Amino acid sequence: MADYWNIHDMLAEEEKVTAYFNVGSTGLGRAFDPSCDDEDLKEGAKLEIPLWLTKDLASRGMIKVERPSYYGPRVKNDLQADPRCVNLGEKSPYFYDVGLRLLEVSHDPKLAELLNLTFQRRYQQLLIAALSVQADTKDITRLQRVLSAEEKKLFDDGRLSRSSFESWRETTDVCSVAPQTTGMKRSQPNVSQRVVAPRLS
Amino acid sequence: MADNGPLSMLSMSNDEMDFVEFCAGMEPIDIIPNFSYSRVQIIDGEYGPFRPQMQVSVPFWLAMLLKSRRRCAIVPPTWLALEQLEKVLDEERSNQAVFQPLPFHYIEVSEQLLKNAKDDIPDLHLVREKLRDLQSVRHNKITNGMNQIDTATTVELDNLAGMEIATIRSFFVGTLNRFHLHEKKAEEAATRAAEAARAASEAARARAPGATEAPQNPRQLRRPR
Repeated sequence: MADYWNIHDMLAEEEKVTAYFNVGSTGLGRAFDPSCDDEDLKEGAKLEIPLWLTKDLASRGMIKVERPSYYGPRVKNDLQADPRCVNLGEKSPYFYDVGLRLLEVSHDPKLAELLNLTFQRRYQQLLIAALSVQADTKDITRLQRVLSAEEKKLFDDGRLSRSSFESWRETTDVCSVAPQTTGMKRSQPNVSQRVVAPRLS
Repeated sequence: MADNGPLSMLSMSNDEMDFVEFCAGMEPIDIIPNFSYSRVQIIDGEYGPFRPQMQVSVPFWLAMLLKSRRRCAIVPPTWLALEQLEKVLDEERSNQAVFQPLPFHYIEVSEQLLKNAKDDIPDLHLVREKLRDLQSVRHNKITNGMNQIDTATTVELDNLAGMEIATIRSFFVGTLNRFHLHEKKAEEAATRAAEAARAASEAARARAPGATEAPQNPRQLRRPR
């Protein structure tokens, strides 16, 4: 599902997750873990592997993926208590995308629900901070610290359109809709006195 | 991941606002020229003839061009009259459910007129004030409406103006995309889980009638003391 060229997808897939190997594999011991004693990976070995590797291994039944702790009950309770205060970016910069990838591996409806609810509840403060005119700068700085990368992108997008609208309104200059014209109907005796329409910026 | 469609490039900078403003140049507006000129043909149609003191309809960009040369007076559009604005503003405040119908480019046109055709607009300061009020009331209405959204839905943006859409586009589209993505993934996970459960139960049923395998005794797995 990941977009091959999307830098955010790449970074999200770099996230390490814990996996238990259902089968041993020959010659892979040191490849995953340099401190491993053996050349071979034993059955039941516990390893941290990047997310992109899990999908294919799990679909063949070769590993069992353990859900990272930030989707666990403690964080879930925090999110239920007040979703707006939980610092998602600190837990995993790609909280949602990593969760969605894990969903492809583990098909856990509870995880899907957790992700959905979290976004639903956090979206409103995002909206207010990004698009509201009367948003408080203190709130905004506080908010920016707790956002995940996906939320941050949305927030920045919203903030950018809002501020470019404001700056457009301030700078709407004399006659910016009119194109620049070269010829004037009447002859102009002095170049310096010529009225020049500003360029379409 | 899905981007914001063909306009995603524009939303990267101020360009989107400039683009919307550029589109506003096509709005027709009435002017009263102070010069004589024959009919002119330009790409989107014929305009004129221009006679002094004779009202004529031209595209907005041409009106602004002529105005900057002091070649015409602008006839303010009817919706820009103070009474009309007050009426719309009252309606907008009292009826929270819908947006009042205003021209699609009302923000762009009014901002330009208020800056470049000051002498043609009666009650300039009051009109400006009302317009700002109107904009902020509508903007609050938009954010309130967006606050209700908690799932990937279709939304109607009836009577929203071009500039108002431009200010929310990237955020709004991004949010809806994310809701959609979450729901799609949840659905996929649910079907896969159901498939896996069905396969497991079928396998169990296939095994059950023969009962060839003796159930494992957990004690056997323990180490003898």
